[in-house]
Amino acid sequence: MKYFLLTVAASTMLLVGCQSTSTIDNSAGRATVYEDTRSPGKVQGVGVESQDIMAVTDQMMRDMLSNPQLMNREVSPRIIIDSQYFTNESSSRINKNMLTDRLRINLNRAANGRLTFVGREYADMVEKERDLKRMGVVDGGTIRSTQATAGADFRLVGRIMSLDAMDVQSQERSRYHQITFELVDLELGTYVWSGMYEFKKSAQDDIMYR
Amino acid sequence: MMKTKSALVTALVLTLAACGTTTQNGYTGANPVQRTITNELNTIVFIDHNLNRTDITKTIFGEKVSNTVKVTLDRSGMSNTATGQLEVWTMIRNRTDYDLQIEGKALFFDANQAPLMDESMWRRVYVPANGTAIYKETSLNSRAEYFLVELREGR
Repeated sequence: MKYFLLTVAASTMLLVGCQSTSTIDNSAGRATVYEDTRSPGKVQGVGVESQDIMAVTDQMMRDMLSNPQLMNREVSPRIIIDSQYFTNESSSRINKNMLTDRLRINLNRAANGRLTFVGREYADMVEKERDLKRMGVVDGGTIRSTQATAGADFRLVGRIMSLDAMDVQSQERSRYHQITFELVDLELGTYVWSGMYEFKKSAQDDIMYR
Repeated sequence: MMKTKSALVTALVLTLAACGTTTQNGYTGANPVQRTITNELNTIVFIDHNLNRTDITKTIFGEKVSNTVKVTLDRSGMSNTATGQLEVWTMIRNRTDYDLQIEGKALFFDANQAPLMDESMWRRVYVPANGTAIYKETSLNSRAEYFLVELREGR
C-alpha cells in the first residue's frame, strides 16, 4: 500500500512539473485583415491617418478643379506639384509625398488635359536623356524635339502644422492639425489658389506611427 | 371547458408574439423602411439608420409606425459651378441636444445615369446640438448630371 501511494504521489508531481515548465505564449493572434482606407481603422491615434490623407487630397482636388482662375484658361496652365516646398512643421510623423503625389495623380486623371503637370522632381533624368539625344548617342525618339523643357506657371506650396495638448492626470491627449495648400504664380509670386484642411483628434493613449 | 380556454389563450399569445416581430416586407426585427426602398438618383439618403428612420410594425390592431429623427435635411439643391461641375448641397439640422458629427459621400452619374466613377471621400460636417451645418460636394467634371449623396454618423 505504501509503495502504491508513493508511486501515485511521484506520478502526480511529475505531471504537474511537466505542465508548468512551458512559459511561452504561442496562442494565435488576430489574423491580418484588409481595412477600408477611407474610414478609421482598428488602430487609430491622434496623428494623420489614411482617411485624413484621402479626404484632404480629395477635397483640395475638387476645390482646384472648380476654380475658374485655374480651369477657365485658353491654354492649360503648367503646374508643379511635389513636396519640395511642402513642409511638415507638425508633431506628426508623415511622408509628405503621400499627400502631394495623391493630389497630383488624382488631379492629372480628373483634369484630363485641362491642367499640365511638370515633373520637376525628375528634371535631372530628362536632361540626361536630352544630352544623349543631342550628342547623337541615341536617336531623337518619336515624339518631337523642343528647345527646352517645360517651364511652369504655378507651383504648390504648403505646410502641415499641429497644436498638441495633454491632460497630465488622465494622459488624454489631443492634436489639432492644419494643412495648407497654395498655388504660387511663378512669374509674379502671387497666390492664385489657396485651400486649407483642419481636424482635431483626441485619444487616451497615443499610438506609434512609423 | 378549461382545456378549450387554455388552447385559445395559447393561440392568442402565439399570434401576438408572431405579429410583434414582423416588420415591413417580411423582415423581422428592427428593419426600417429605408432598408428596403430603392435609392433614386438625385436624392440624399441616410445610410446610418440610427439618424433618421421609419419602422413599421404589424400588429393585430394594424400597422404601427414609429419614426426615429435625430437629424433632418431642411433644404437641398444642386447647381453648376463656374467651371461646369455639378455641385450638390444640403442643410443638415441636428434635432438632438448633443453635438453630432455627420459624414457625407457623393457619387456622380452622367446624363444616361451611368456611373462616372466619381465618388468623393467622406467629408465630415460638425453639427452643433439643435444647430445646422452645410454639406457640399462638387463633381470632378462637367459630365455629371445626377448624384446620390449618402450620410452617416461620423466615425
